[in-house]
Amino acid sequence: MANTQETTADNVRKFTKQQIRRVSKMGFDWNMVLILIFMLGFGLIMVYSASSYVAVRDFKDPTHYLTRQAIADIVGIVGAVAFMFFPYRIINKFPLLPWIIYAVAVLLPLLTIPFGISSHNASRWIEIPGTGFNLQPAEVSKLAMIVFMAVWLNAHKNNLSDWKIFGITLALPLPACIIIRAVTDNLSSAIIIYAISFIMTFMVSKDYLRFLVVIGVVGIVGIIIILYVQHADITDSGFRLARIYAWLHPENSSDTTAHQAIQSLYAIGNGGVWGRGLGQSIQKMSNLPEPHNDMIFSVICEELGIVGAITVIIMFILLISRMYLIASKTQDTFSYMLVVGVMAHVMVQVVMHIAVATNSMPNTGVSLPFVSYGGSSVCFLMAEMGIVFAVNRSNRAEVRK
Amino acid sequence: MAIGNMEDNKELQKRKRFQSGRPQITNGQNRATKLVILLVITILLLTALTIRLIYIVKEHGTEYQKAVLQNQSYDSVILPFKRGDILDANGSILATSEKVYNMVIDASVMLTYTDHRYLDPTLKALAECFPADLVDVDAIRYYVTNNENSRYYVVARRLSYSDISAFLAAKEENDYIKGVFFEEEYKRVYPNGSLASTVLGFTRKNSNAEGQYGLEEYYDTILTGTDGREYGYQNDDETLERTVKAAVDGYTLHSTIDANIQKIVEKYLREFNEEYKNNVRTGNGAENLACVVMDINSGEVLAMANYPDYDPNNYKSVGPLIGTQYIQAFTNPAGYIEYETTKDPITEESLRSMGDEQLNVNFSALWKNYCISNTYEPGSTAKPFTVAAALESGAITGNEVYTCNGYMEVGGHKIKCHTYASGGDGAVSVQDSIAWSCNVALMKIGQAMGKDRFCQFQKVFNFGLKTNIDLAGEARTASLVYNSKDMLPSDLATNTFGQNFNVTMIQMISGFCSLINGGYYYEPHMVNKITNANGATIENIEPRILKQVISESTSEKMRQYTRATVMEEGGDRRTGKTARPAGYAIGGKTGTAETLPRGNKEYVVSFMGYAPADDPQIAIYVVVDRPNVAKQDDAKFATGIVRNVLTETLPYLGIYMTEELSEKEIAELDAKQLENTYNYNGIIQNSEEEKEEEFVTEGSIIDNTGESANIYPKWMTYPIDPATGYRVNPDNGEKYYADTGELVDDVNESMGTDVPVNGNLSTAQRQDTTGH
Repeated sequence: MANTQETTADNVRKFTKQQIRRVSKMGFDWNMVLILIFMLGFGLIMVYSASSYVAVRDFKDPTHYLTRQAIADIVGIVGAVAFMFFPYRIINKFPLLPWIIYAVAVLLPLLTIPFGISSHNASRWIEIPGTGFNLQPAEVSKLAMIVFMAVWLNAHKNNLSDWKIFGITLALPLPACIIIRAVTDNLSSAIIIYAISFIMTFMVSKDYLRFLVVIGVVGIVGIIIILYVQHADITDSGFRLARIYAWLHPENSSDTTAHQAIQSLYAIGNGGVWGRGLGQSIQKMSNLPEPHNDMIFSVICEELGIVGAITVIIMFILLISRMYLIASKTQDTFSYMLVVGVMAHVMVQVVMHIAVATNSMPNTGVSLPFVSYGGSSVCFLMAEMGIVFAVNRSNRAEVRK
Repeated sequence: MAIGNMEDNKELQKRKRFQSGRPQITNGQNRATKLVILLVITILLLTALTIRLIYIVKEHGTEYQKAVLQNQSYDSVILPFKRGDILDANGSILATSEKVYNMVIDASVMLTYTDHRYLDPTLKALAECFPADLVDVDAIRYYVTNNENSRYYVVARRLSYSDISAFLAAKEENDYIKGVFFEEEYKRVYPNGSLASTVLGFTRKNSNAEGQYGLEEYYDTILTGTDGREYGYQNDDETLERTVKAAVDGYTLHSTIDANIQKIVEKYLREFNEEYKNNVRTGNGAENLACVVMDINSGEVLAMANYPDYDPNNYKSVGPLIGTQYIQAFTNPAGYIEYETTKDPITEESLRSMGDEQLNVNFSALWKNYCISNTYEPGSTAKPFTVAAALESGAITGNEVYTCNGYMEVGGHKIKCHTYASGGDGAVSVQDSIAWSCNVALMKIGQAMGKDRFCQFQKVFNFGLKTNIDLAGEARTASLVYNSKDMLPSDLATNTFGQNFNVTMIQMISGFCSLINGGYYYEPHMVNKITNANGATIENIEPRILKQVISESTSEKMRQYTRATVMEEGGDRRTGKTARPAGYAIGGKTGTAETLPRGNKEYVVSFMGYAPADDPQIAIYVVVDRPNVAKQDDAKFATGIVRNVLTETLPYLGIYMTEELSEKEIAELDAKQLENTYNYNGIIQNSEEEKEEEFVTEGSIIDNTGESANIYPKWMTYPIDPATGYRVNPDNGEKYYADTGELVDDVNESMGTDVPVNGNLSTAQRQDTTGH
């Protein structure tokens, strides 16, 4: 370990003995734990506030969603602890295992075809028999893809500059993305999975240019589409384009997606700086669809105002910073990749969710990590947190050595 | 800042080995840089979004806030008002509004789950709770599955509470019944069907707004209330509160119509129609049949009816059209649409061939109130007006005797009397001219008066002007009467007996009331009180005397002359004897007006009368427009209806019989079983037999001091002084008017009642005379 000393001079300075002492044997990053507890608790409060009206309307029980979310939180915490003690490096030991994980990521969404439960015109859930709970395969795919990409990139980190390997790396998440989009009509999950994989690739590659080129090409295509939609009269030419049109002109468009976008803006405007007060949202009553899920940030804005919204954003920045610290302390590329994948996941979802709420991007349903209602989402996010803690444990172990 | 692992160490060693080569970046350094980039990008993106958030609030905050609050009010529920009732004089309901329910389905709620856990039980409950003709479950299933985002679709309208109660109970029990709710609405209901239909009118689509025709239209703003709302608003603490602004119900009309008299009138109009329909031509018993009964001393309309009528609950039903005259709409050469009443009645075949436009034309004729909206030549019922005008203006004294040869030459025209064929009436007094309806005498009276005074009095009696009765659709007749400038001698001659000028029924009867009641012209009206929904009085509408048209003494003569038309003193040639109801003395005037074009042998026959003769209470006017008979010019068609109506109405009003009843009349009254009519009002009265006994024995009134004292006022028991005609109290010598019972004031009496009481009237006359 002597060699590490000279490259981690800064690190050593930072890692004073005091800090090391605070590291528990358990391997929790207590700052992160506190942030997570805050997020989950805050999430429960907001889910209750946002959903109670809808829950009474649909289920005659104001705590319907709250109860289910609380159960999912508990399952998620248990899962996090379990994953924390999981000797994650053994995945690398079995050559076939990563491919099984990859197969899960790609094929699990296909199960919604025979066993699916549809809601809102899309079949996104599989019923877990005997529990009354449903599983969203896309959430599983996200975690599976993070783990697989970590293994893959770890194996190919030194020859990513090879165009062939680079191409294969960028193509690997595509089957999962296409299936999720095609089978479950869930574009946002497909985008998230691809974005995570792309960021992970970027994070391990030593190159910048080719990523800039890819981003540039995607950006130019996007701008062309936007310009086309701007100047064409296409309110009826296809669902996706209509969605983009609705994003550009929410006030002119009468369809549901535009309605959602403008209602979200109304909620933000109605909340003002300080908000209407917890539980006082008007928009959650009927105007915002899924106020406890895809539109929870709008409800936060309406009830807690810009102040509350900025607080939430700061909490996410803190959470990502904690993961950044853990990632920067990793001893090996595989652990680093895992943490970066989780980090990318949280970051992409937070940015997309808030961007949709502020009509900064076309409307796709994205949940706000830890806060939005959704059992699958919270359980697998907590599992990912467990992996981060496991990496952290491993880091500590290295440091203690 | 990076922490290498063992793999990295190897690379480090490798790099050290090739120091001279291109500078290599370690994995550790690369990771550190990229992590910083990722963190910075994340923070930048989130900061950008925060700025966007602040921008939204700062730039559009107020606007969006308003939009949210406005959206709230869209969410609010309208609470419908109840249109005011229309009551008759006794408080029974002529028109009211019933709460009904519209069934609305929310397809989006029904389809919340794809396994149809809401849809199937809901549709099952609908099928069980509603008969198939009311709610078509298959149609609902089709609609719901094809419009899955629909949140508001009205399936069935105007269900009664009893219709929906079973479903509401089922919904209460089963939580899976979802997506069906009910909206309240009011439906206009006329519990008596066609009773007084043309007086009441109806509301469009039987809703609670937009009254059309009759009282519903005239009093639309009074009957209409204000919708309430249940809505959310922000209080001072900027929190949302739900509040209810209750609906304000419309005001209730208390009409002067007495449903019982109205029923009697309509019964006999219908009976007439039944008797004469399809008689000599296909179609109704007469083109129009109409009757107005009025309180002679207040202008309140007690009954107003015409036939054909319709059921306002179902005013678009074509049934009543059958038998009425077909009105043809056509475009004239100038390009305007004209209407022509054809000679053909509407039959089921012609009904089928009618287009919508054609149908509407005929419907609007059906919905019209003949008594106020149609004009016609009155005929001889106008004679009392001519005579009253002549007496009042001093042109005649009432003692004149005219000679009738059956015709008279006026302005080159040979104008006939109805006795032309029999060589004329011979010597005709003024009373006879009315009782016998002599045209020649009337023409001579008209000549004595002159056209200026005649036209002056047309205005005095309101001919050519609206009466302003409180009903929608009163006809304008200004252009249908003469003014003296344009009047030729022949026009004056024909006008004196009611031809060549047009009137409405309401003008005629309002004017006739004033001739009989001492000269007081009351504005005819239908409503005497308006109350709010809680029963508090909003407005009392008192009888309004507009003017005094003739003096009391002239009026007394008119009562005498018109009485002679019906009663024995008019002689055998009197025209109105068939109008007299058994047991009563009444006065009146018949009318037989030839319609245009002349010579078609088509007539409007009518009778206008008052009852009882000694103390006028009510006026009645019946018009039979072109009766369905071979020989139309016979007043009996009208007098028959008058007789029947009065026979039932007078006892109902508690007016006692004064005349002897013949055996035949007693049998006829027994057959009618009028006891039933006494109970119309809920007031128990003496039975018919008792009263008959009292009246058949002459002198029994004076002898019988017990019960009969309650029946008659005391002054009526005093003997009449043959010299003065007053009743005299044998105890103190006080004199009373024989017919009114008023104490005679000797001082005032000597001033003379022949002087017109109405100052304006005499001034107007003077001006007119000086003008020539």
